[in-house]
Amino acid sequence: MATVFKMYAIQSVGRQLVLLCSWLAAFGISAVAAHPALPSQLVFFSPSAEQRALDAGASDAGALDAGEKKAIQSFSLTMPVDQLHLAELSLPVTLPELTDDARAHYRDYLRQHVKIYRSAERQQVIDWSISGWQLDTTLRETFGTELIAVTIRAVEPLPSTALLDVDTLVHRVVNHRTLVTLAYATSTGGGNEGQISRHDFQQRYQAALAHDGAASGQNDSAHAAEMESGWEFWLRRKYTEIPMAQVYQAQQDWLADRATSRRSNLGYLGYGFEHIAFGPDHLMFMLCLLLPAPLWGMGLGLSTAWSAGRVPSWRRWGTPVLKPLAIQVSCFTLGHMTSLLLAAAGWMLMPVVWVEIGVALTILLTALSVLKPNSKPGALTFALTLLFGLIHGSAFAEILHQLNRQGWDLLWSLLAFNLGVELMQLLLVVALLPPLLWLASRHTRVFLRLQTVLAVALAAIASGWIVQRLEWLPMTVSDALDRLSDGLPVALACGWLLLLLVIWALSLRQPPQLVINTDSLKAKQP
Amino acid sequence: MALANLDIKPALLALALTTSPLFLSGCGSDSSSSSDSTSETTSDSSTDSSTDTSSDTSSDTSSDTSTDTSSDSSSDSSSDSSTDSSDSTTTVDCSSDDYATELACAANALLDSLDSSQLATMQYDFSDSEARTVWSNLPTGNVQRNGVKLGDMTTAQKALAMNLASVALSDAGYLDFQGILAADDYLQEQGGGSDYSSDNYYFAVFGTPSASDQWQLQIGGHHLAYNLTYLYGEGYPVPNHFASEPKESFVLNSETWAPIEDEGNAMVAVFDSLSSTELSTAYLSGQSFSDVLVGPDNGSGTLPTDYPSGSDRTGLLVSYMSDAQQALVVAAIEQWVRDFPADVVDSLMETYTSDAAFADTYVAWAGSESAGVDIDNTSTYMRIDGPRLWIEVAVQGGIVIRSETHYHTMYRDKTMDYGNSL
Repeated sequence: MATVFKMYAIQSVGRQLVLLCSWLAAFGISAVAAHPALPSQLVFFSPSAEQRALDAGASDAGALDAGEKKAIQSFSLTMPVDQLHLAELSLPVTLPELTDDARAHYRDYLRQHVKIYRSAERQQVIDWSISGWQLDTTLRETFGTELIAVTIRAVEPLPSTALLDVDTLVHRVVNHRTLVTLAYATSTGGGNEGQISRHDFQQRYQAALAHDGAASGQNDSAHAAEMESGWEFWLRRKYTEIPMAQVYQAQQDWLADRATSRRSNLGYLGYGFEHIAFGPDHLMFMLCLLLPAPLWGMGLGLSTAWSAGRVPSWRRWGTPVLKPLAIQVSCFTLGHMTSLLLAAAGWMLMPVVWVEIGVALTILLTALSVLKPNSKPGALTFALTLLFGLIHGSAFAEILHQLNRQGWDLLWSLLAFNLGVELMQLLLVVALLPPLLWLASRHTRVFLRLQTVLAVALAAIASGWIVQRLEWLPMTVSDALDRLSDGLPVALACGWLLLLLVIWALSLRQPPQLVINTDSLKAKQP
Repeated sequence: MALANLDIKPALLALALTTSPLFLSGCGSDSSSSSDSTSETTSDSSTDSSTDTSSDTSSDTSSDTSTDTSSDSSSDSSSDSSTDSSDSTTTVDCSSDDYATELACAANALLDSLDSSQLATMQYDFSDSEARTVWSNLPTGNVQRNGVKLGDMTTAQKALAMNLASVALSDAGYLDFQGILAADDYLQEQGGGSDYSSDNYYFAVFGTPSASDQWQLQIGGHHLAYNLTYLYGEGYPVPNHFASEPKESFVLNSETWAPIEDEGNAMVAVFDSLSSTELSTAYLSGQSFSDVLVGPDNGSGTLPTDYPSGSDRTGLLVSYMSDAQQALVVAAIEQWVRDFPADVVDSLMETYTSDAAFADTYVAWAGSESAGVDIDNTSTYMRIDGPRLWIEVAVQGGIVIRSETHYHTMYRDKTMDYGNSL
């Protein structure tokens, strides 16, 4: 299609206006033809928290059932300008620029044609405002019209009993249709689900056009397939109602569908992997477990060994450090697995809302325990870790619940998942422990400071989560916290690299004194 | 009834028709080589009336096609000796007293000529309602059609496909069909791009063609969708979308075509005959149309439910109109319905134009009320809305030829689209 219009592509805005005027002169008032008569599109935004949870296995996805977070509160509505003029002659036939006047005009129009009712009885109205505007003039050459997009945000999350009545355009343009779809909110707008990136905007619109013509629901673009739920229906002249129950049902089906299709049995291994690697909850918890460990070996000659330029023997650090750490990590996995199995069998240990808060609480407690000097692991610590594992597992159980997996399938996926978790934890230990050990034994004071800073930071974030999950945080702070949490895995990786660099630098500055050079080279290796 | 334009030279018209199976593959080269022989044919059909001309020459077409396929090498197929040789191995003579048998035979002849992968692409299950309802007004680059396109067929297969179309359509309908294909080549010539081409028209068959079974023939491309459903010999040529840019006559390779001009003029004639009071009764106030109302089914797998009802269903009742006006309505209806053979549509015409039907049939229009029914205005809209019959014409802005408007039209049967067999 685009090629057809290449010859009409006008580079400069000035020439475009001249062309526009000549069209207007040629065709009279309703001059500019859109071909094909473009449909409108209405996209519900499924909150991005779930997307992160599913795409990255993050934050244990317990948010899925936390009501508030799942609730849809906004949708975008994209309409062709020329047909809006057909529908309401006082609206402009073409809109080169989105002026304040134009906004006011369209807002008035939308007020009349977008209604949100609390229930099907249409007794109570839920108010809404326009939280975003966009004017797309780039498709003008192709379709002969601009597209105007608004993001409509209700004053509260839409209850599943709510009913939308949207008769934009169709109240008058009898053949017009509006494609209703469900998409994940893109995070391009910095967590504001109302923001539509230009790319997505056009992509969606092209998709709508293709759908208008063809039934084949196959979307060519992988990007679009990721974004769109695949659920859709058309609003038409005689069908202008959208029951929110349908939208929420579609959301449910979609989440279950995505989770299942992304994870066939072995895929769960990777899921477990990601679960730890990219889930801020888990990373933070693991970090809390690792932080005190190097000190358990203190006073056992580790430092002397390092100073002597030798890798300390197993006796010196294996038994006091690695063994309890391994037990502790295993306890965590055991707890994790147990609650998953219980959930699979249909037993939930506690309500999901409390699980989320519980997870944050475990991190807070573990982080605080790091600050406590001389916290050598004992039976009590192991028991607590087991308990914490149980809590973390419960959070994930909810997502598994959505997968509709049963019998052997479920067992296999659980095993694979836990294997993934175990492997990733092991990798973390292997990557993090040696530099921490080295730092603790060679530069104990630096290590202690690092430990304190990290523990306080982790405790602060965990406290933030607790408040957030109790829903006491204002929206903006909550969004900021979400972004911060999402950045944690990357921050950790960067921190780790930085630590290695520091160690390298320090070891250069302090060449070992009592040994020959070849040994010192060896010492650098860990 | 596509060629009302009396400027069209009968010789050119006859040429186009007699070479029709080859016309699409390479009209330019073929026409020059065969013009001598066809000019004799033209001298036989000497009347100036376009109606007569088209029926005369079209009967030539069918006989010409049958001679082609029976390898009786006629003068104008000299450039296609390969066609003849391949055809000679699969001689197809479908002529039959029974229309349904003849059509099924022509369809099977095309299917038999395909290799296995082509066959898999062209033939669908009759029960595949979703696929049966996939068609569009858009260029094929925008919406993938069912089946195999003319551009992917061998010369012999193409001849069989065009023969099938000529059997499936009436003479007037076949002429319209060729005109719509020519319009796409014309759009390409006008700089529209390679998406527009007579090569991009698809043939698809649902089920196994037979006079004693259920099957559907689908022919479609840009601005065209024939959905011909046959239920045990009974045919239903709906839904039928056809459109053309430009809407008036155009010249391509010195042939003059006007596939949709008659349809538009016949529709306008109905409204031109109305008094100003009648015109305002027929006006759909409060309604605008940016395109036809009941357009492509988009693979819905079901019959559309968007027909107007209640206060939306208004207009001027045909039964209130004078005999002369009613005759114009009948003539307009015929422009769409009579694109299909009398065997298929005689009974439908009777149903659509009965007194009982006219007592519930509205003519209606929309657009700028002050400007009136002006086909040069985008968003001018005309329709005939009966208890079963649904014909609508929407005036669209120009796409390639920006200075002119063009038509989108639909012919549907509210209850018998797809033979009501989805």
